[in-house]
Amino acid sequence: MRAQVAIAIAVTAVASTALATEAPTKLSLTIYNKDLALIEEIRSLDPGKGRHRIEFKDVSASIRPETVVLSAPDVSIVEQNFDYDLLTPEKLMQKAVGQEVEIVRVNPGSGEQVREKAAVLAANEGVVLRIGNNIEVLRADGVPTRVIFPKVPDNLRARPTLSVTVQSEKAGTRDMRLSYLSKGLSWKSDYVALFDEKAGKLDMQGWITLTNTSGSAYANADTQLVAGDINLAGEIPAWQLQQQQLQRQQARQMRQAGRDPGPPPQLADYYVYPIRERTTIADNQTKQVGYLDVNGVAARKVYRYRASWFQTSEPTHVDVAVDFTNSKDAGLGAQLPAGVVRVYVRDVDGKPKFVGEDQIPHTPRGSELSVKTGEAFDVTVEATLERHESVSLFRSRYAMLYTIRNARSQPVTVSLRQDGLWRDGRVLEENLKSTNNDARSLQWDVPVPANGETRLRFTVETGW
Amino acid sequence: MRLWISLLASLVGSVSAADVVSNAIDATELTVYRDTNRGTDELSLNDDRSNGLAMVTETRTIEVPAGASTIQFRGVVDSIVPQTAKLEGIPATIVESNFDYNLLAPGTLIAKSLDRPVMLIRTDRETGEIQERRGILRSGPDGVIVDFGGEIEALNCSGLHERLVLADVPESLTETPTLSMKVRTAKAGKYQVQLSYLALGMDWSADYSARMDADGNRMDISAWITLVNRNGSRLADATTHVVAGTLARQEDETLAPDFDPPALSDRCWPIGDFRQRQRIKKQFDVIESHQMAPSMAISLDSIAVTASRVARASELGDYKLYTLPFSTTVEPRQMKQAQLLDLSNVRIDRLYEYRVTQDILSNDPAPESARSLLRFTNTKDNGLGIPLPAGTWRIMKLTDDGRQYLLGEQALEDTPVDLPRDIYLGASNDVTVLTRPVEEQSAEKESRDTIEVAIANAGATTANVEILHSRQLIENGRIVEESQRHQTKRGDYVWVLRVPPHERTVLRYTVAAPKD
Repeated sequence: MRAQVAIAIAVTAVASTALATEAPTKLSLTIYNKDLALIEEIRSLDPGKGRHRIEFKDVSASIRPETVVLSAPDVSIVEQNFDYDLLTPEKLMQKAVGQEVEIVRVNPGSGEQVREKAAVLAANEGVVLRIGNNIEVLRADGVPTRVIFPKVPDNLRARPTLSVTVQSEKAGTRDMRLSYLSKGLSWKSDYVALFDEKAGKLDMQGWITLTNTSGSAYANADTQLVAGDINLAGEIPAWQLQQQQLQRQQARQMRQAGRDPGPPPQLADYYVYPIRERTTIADNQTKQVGYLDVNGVAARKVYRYRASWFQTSEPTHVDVAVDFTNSKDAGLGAQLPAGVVRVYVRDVDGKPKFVGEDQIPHTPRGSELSVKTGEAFDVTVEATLERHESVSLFRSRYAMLYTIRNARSQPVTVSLRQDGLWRDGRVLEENLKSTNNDARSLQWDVPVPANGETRLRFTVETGW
Repeated sequence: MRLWISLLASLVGSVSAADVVSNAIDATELTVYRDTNRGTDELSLNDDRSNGLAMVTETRTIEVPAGASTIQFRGVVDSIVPQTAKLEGIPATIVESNFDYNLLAPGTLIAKSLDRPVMLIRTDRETGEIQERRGILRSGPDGVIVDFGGEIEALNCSGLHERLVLADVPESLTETPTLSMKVRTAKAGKYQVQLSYLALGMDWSADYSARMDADGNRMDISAWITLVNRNGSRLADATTHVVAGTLARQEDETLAPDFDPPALSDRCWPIGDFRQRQRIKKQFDVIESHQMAPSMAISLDSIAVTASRVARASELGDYKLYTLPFSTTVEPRQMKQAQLLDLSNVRIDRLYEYRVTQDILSNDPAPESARSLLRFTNTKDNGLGIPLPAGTWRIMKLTDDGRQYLLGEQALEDTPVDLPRDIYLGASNDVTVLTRPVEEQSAEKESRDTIEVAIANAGATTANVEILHSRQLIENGRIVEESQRHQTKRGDYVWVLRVPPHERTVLRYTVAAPKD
């Protein structure tokens, strides 16, 4: 389609005859989340008989050359090279050291041109030439001087190039299969969720966002995407590990993992998403393909506040989240690959407006999800530690007052969670009934009237 | 040689008949969100952090054929987050949506023209004579190398006046950010569609200017929405909204494509003489071709102040949406203001605050200034009772002779209705406090400290002073004696004292704390 699309291929026999070949008859891409793709292509090619070099120009700079596999009937690989010595004027001159070039001096006064042969002796800090019996520095006199090189050195290239030397048993056109892993291709999922609070419904679209920064384009590729965190050998940078850890800590978006069966096809533990139509992925492109479009998923808005310790704080806006499940009963019934959910609600004029975004992990069907959209402007919690007493050396008593204010014209319920309980933690008194999430936290669902406030008071005693 | 001929042939065949190009935007709707990372920092035009966010909805009219076609939406905002693009208003299936970030620039032009025919033009400095040579571009943009039928030369290494001329712009390069969508429509026709997407580089803040009356009991407030566009794109005649509230964001995932085009370099082999290394720095001669992408000429920081009509407030989920009362054109790198609200006679309290800390008790006591502050509660009774978006408050005072003075400024968070807020103005010169321990008793189980707080008011009006003592300062502690009854507020014991002008008032209290 585009000039850059076809991976140019040339077969150079050792005797140096060049052949242009057809575009791949089949190109398939399997793209993973982690900046990784498996590229497979089939090309019809006549490798000739004997030992020849096949050049694959335009493979990406991000190719992992150690993963290249070329296979064809009656062909064996002698050696594989991945050259990334880029052709620049400086390199061109360096490679010409010890060789002969032509120089053309242009007389600045008369414009007269003098053409001479010169041998390049060195190209460090300036180019040293031997012209006849004299040694000179190129352009030391400031006189314009062109340098003409007889050819581009074989291993200097404008683009990274993979070359494979093969031993072919016989001549004749046949299918050659080339496969390799490459970086620079990745995908993620992006969700658009239009939330209707009154109806308690969510319209959700899932998009696959493909990004290609591999340096190559892929024409008419049969593409499939694999969702899942596959293990890759090699060192993981520290920041990445840290980030992963952070992500795990923060990944509370999935509140309950599902167990519903998923649809085929599946690949071991991972989800596979084939793109229905063949697609062309240009270089430096972000491409989106839709794969999920469901309306009327049951969803509800929740207000959450979490206190990690017993302490006084200024009024703080509570979190707003949209809770839903991707079970079939709720209307979604699809596994969700990890990605960002962007939530929209309609404004007073009925136009959808963006209200926040959150990340979800790879989510099996039937899971319970909570997507945080932001903080409520009108709902705040003010915490006061009213009393703090030591009961014994290792036990303390805390009396907390939470003032929950609601400036909205509708009543709300705030789910307030108190962490900080430790050994033998217990509630001594409370003005609203708490529930236990686990041994170390308590939870209250606090109803707050419209344009009003509710005070939650409790005293707990806990060891530490 | 054969290779580039075949490439050219494939180029000719690549113009699809079903390409629809949309250049014109009929109407734009713009919704700007606050940069949540900025916190209460002041808004700046030159801030290059790209976290501020906007939602852009463009109405465009397109004519599409039946069946498959590719629609090119040209001129989208340059900081578009392509994965957020949505298209509405057309009965079509979107097969795929593409954003290519191959903006036309000297570097990308060279990178995409490899193995294509070029012309090198040399101009004689003296005679003006022009010499043209045709060749094939072999390498670039990291130093340009051209093959003239077996004679290989590098551009800008000879010291001659040289420039490169290309036949055309490679098709994959665009001069304006372009989003393209491959759609399939059942029926051909003219449709008015809405293209919406998120874009970065826009931000807004609220700025409050309050004028306190002479008595310090009331103030007039006028507040402005300050909108900033740090992008290179212009949004013409846009219906504009701003959203107050804190959105959850995934900044690492919602990014504009990284425009990092390869730069065209004039790298050459080292050029020097016998004396020392000297590199001839040369301006790159203009590559002749289509007009280059418009230069990012930075206009002066223009701040446009619009007509003084007040923005319309409405609800958006749990946020507040403010709609500017007129449509407005947002220019590249512009700061723009519109009025948010205009209130008069808001009731306020002027008071002073002083906090007793452990430090003061242990050190050699000396008189210290009390902090002057202004307190209001956001209720209708006080002349307020409306949501107040986060922003900077500047408190001015009008004196009897009509002069204005700035008393202080402070940033406040989003303030919902009914919430009390304090604005600290600064240290008072008139109201000073001397705190000292006057008695320290130690019994078997308990220690008792008596603290004396002496407040002096040199001002001409009565000062209301709050003395605060943190309850967390003394574990298991309690007040056992006091010259005046205390109150509790959040985590503090509070004594409120009225100090008449030119007088001194003394507070004494005793704190008992059990011994370990």
